[in-house]
Amino acid sequence: MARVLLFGPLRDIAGWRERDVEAASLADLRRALSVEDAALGEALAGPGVQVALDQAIVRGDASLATASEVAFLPPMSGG
Amino acid sequence: MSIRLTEQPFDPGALLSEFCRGRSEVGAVATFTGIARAEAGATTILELEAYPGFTEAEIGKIAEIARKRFGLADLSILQESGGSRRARRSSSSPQVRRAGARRSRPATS
Repeated sequence: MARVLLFGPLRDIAGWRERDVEAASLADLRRALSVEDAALGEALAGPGVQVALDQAIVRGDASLATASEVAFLPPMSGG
Repeated sequence: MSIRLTEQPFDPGALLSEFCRGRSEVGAVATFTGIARAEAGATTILELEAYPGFTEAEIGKIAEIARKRFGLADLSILQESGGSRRARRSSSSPQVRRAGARRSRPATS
């Protein structure tokens, strides 16, 4: 069970900011979220979206066996 | 080195004064203060989300690069986040822009 956090436009698309999701890996988590909400799944796979597992950026797939928090971070912009 | 987030508005001048206090072996202090643009009236509210813990750590990585690159003696970074509270205080149909933030980063060398 991982606590999933969404920020910025990802939160707006999903309609929620934080929830617990059962998934064994990051790929599983993406699939689970996409099945439930295709628009969110597409947004999470969008360019520039980064993933942090327990506050450390990861790229590609990763096990969620020991991770307690997964944050999806949209690209920064503005200035 | 100090890196903090705040949801409260702050006075960059006061931060600078506090940062300079008691420093007798520093030759200069450089500052950067970001402010929100109104975009010709199109933007009335600025909302900036932070990921507590992660945000400070990421800012810290950038600060450490700057410290080494410019030979800084010290750094103080205060980043404002939030905005929804201010949004409720403003007009009934605010335009929200999630970009930029008020920030102040004094650095000594």
